[in-house]
Amino acid sequence: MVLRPHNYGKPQRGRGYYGYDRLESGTLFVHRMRSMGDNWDFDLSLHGWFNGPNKSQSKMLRHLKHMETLGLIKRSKRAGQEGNESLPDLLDQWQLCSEEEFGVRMPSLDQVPGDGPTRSGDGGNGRRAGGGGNDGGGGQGGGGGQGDNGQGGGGGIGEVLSHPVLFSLSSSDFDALVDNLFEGPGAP
Amino acid sequence: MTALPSTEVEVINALSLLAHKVAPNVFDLSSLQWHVSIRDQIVRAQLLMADLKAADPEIDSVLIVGMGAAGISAAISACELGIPQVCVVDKADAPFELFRGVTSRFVGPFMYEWPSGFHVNQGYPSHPNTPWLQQGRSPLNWSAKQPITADLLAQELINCFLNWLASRLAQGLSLPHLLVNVEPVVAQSFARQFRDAEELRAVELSEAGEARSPKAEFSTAACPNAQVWGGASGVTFPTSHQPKYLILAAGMGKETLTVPGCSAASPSFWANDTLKDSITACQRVVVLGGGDGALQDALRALTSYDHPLSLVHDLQQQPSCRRALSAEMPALLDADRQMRQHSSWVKGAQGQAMVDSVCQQAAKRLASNKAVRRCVLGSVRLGTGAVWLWVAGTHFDKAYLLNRFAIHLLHACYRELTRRPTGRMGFEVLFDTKVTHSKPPSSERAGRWKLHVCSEDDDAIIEADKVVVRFGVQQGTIPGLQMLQLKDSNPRDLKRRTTLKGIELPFVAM
Repeated sequence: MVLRPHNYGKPQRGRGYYGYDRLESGTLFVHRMRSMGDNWDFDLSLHGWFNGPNKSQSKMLRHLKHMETLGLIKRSKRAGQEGNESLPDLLDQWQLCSEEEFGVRMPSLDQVPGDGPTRSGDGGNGRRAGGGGNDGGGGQGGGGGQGDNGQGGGGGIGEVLSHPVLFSLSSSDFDALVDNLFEGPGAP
Repeated sequence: MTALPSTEVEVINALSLLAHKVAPNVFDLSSLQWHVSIRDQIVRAQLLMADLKAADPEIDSVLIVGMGAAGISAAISACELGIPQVCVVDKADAPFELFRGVTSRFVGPFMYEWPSGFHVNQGYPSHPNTPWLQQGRSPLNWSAKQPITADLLAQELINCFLNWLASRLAQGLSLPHLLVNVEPVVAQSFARQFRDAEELRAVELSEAGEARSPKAEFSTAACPNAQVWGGASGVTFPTSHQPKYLILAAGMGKETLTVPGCSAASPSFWANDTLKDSITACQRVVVLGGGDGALQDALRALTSYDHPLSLVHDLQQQPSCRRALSAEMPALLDADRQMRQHSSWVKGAQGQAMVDSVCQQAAKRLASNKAVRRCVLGSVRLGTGAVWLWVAGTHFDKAYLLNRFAIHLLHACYRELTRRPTGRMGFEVLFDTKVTHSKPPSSERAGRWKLHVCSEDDDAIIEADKVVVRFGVQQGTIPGLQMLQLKDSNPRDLKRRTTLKGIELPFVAM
C-alpha cells in the first residue's frame, strides 16, 4: 500500500470528493482516494471539533487506533494514560505522521485564486459540507455535528441537503437524469 | 457522578428529502419512482416541499422544472409554505401537457387500490368510505366515481390550478412564476450549472466557512422563445432567478417503443392509439411486455373495457359473480399488501411472482364458475381477431394487482374452453417469450408485421396487424437506483446503492 498526498484542486465532479469517516462529535476525516492499481491513495486531516463532553470518546479512540494501524497518525509525546483524558486531550495526544505528506498544511482559499477550494487542517467551524466518496461510491452516511462557533453549524439534515456526495447521484448518473428531462412516459 | 448536560433535539421529517435528493440542493420527483399514480405524484411533491421548509426554514427561492401534477403540486405547496420566490418552467405551452388530448388512457387516484375498499371512488382527495382522507389538503382536487380520461383529468387539474391562482391573487398572496415553451436543453443546461455551482459552494462552505462562488442563475435571456404562461392573470417570471433549490419534475426516462429487431416503433403510452377502433377486433394484435402498460393495453385491445376496474364492476353487478369474487378478495388483498410492502424493502421480484401466483389461483377458481366465465367472456369484443400478450419473464413485471388479476382472469376463462368463444376475439398469454427479429408491414395501410418469436419450446414466425411495445422506461436512460451508496470491499465492483423510492406513499399529505 502506498500512501500519497493529494493535490487538492477544483472539485472534480463524481470522482474528486473523497471517502471519509465521520465521528459523531468532532470530525476526523480520512479521505480514501481513488484506487490506482493495487495502490491506494490516502489523505487525512483533523477537521471540525467536538460538540459535547465525552460524547464519542470511545469512537474517537477506536478510530484513531485504526488510523495508527494504517500508519497515518502516531501518538504524540504528550500522550497520557488512556481512558482518563477528555476529548480535546485525546485529540492532542495524536499527531500526523507527516503533515506535509498528507497535505494538511495547504494554502488558504485566498492564496489560491482560481484554483478552487483547498482545505485547512486545523479544525473547522462546524459549517462544513463534509467529505465525499471516491468515484461516486464509497460515501458513508452520518449526520454532522454542530459547530462550536455558535452559528448553528452545518450538521444534521441541513448539511445533507447541500452535501456534494451524500444522497447524491454520481456525475454521470445525474447527467443521464438531466438528459432525459421532459421524456415520457409519466404516470399510469 | 456528573450529569450530562441536557441536549435539545428537534425531530423533523426528512425521508422525502433523502429519497429524492440527486445532487446538492437538487431533488428529483420524476425518475424511477415506484409509485407513480396521479395521487402519488401530488403527495410526493407536497411531502418534499414541507420537509424542505422544515429542514431549511430560511428557504427563499426554488426553481421547479416541469408543470405536470408533481411540478404544479410542488409549486402550490411552496407558495403555501411561504417561500417567497417560486419559479416553474416547462417545455410545453401550458401545465399538464402530458395528459392533454389523451382520451384513450383512463386514470383514477384509487383505481389500483382494488381489492381494498378505496377503489369505489375516483375523486381526490375526499373519499366517502374514508373520512380521514378529508383531512388531506390538495388544491388539486376533483370528483369522479369512475376513472376518467387523462384529457378530462387535465381539464380538472387546470381548473383547480386557475381557481387556486385566482384565490391567491384576490388575497394578495404571492403566486408562482410560470414560464412555458422553455427549450429542454436550456433546462438541462441550467440543471448542470446548478449542480456544479452547488458542489463548489458546498466545498467552499466546508473549507472556508462560507460559500463565495455565486449561485447558478436562470436567465430568461437563455430561452428567447419562452413566454410567461398566459393562462391566468397576475402570473409573471423574473428575468433572472438564482434559486436556492432545484426540483426536477419533468419526466421519467425514455420509453422503450422500438419493436425488437427493427427500427419501427409503436405509439407511446401517453399517445392516443387505435386499439379501441372497431377494426382492431378483427386484427391480430401482439402486445409485448409484462408491466402495467402491457396489461392495460392487452385488456383494452381484447375487451370492451377502457380500464380494468370496469371488469370488476361488471362482476359485482351479478349476485353469483359477486359472491364468488368476494370469496377471493381477502387472499387478493393480503397478496396486494404483501407485494407493496415487499417492494418497499426488497429489490427482487419475489413479491411479483408471489402475487402472480395468488392471482392465477384465484382466477382459476373463478373461471370454473359458469356465471363468472359468462360475464368475463361476455366482455370480449366480437370479432375474428386475437390478442397475444408475450412476456419475456416467467411472471408479470411491476404491475398493480388489478391489472394482473384482470389478465389472469381473462386467460383462465379462455383456458376453461376447448375452443375460442363463438364470434369473439382470441386471447393467449405466453411467458418466457421474446421477439428476436421483426419486419414491419410494407406500408402503413397494407401488409402485416412478421415477428420471429422464441419461447422455451417453440420458435416461429407470427404475423400481426398491430404490435404494441410496452417495455416501459429504458434502463439506460434513468439514473439508476440511488440514494445511499454502499461501500464495497472490492473497489472494482460496480456502484451499489440502496433506494428509498420503493416506499409506498400515503394517500394524502396531512
